[in-house]
Amino acid sequence: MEGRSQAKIIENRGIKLTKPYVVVGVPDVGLVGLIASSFMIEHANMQEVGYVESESLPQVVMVHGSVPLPPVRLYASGDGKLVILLSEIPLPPRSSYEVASELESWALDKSAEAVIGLSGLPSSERLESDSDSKPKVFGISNNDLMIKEVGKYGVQPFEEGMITGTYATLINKGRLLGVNNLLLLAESYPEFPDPSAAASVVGVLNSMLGIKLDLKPLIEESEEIRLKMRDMMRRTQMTASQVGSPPSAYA
Amino acid sequence: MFGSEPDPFDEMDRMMRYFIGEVDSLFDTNSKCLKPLHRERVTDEELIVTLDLPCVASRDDIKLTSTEESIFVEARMKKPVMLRVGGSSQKRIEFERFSKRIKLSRHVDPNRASAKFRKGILTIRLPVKEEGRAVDIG
Repeated sequence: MEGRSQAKIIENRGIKLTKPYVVVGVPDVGLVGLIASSFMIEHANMQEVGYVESESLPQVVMVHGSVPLPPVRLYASGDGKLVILLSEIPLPPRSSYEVASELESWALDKSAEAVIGLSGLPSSERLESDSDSKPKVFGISNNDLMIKEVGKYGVQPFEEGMITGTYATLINKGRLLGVNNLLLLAESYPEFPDPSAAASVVGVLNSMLGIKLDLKPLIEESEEIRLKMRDMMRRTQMTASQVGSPPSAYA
Repeated sequence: MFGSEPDPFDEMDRMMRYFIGEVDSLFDTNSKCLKPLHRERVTDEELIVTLDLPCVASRDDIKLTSTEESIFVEARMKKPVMLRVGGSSQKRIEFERFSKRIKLSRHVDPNRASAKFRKGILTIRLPVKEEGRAVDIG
């Protein structure tokens, strides 16, 4: 595909952004990105500022409290320094490519500091072990300085493996356009929702972006989140199995 | 196949299943019972089945039985939980327990099975039963 993608970010109203960090949470391994992003949107009082329009997206409207909403939306913090792209549906491959491409172009237009993807690294060991240790977070970036920076917050470099799906396109397009990209991968239950893994990535963002969110509610409500996210986990797995794609990251 | 256009009806069917179908199988609304998410992993010696059982307090609330071909798990939650169920039009239903029979992909030895319950996850290890006989190659 040549040039700018078919997807288009529509800004709901004139938003003022100042070199924002653009965080991306789409459903995949352990629903880490989705859980972390939803938590940040709610607890950092972020407002809906736009959405993604694309022919390739499933024809879906989400209805929350009688309000119809597009499934892939953008939220921003009051100071315009943080933007989150949240997808409430698992993205089929073509949509995923277009949404990620458009987001990188948009981030370039907005002089974004960086695009930060949040995801999970499937770990059978985490699932089957007795250990209560916090899930480790691994990082990949097209900018060495970013990896060094997050290293201060306990993020280890992801050294060898493969990334697929939305986050892969973000990294590839980011490189093409010269947009800083960082992907944070928390060790996660492979096929169950994993709020503790989500808490690990939010913990890194707390330090990195100075947002200081209290992680306690995420930990305390973790069992209920796991119950409520079962449906989404199943739909996400169904989407992945229909296209025969492997998990979004594996080492 | 390669080079052919996607069939729009296939696409529609996939979409319907994606948003409405199958997912209902995670719930049994008649018996107010949830079917837990589960995962099966096979190693050379054993089959490891993990089940996600959030809101279950302890192992005393779980009943687990195994045969050579399947396992059956039943678990009681700490308190009833209200969940939204359904595809396009959702309703709220209260659930108080999990229940699931899982057909295993290999024959196992249930007498040597072991299980543990940590952090709301039940892990069952089932030694794979050796099958077949050595065949002489003449």
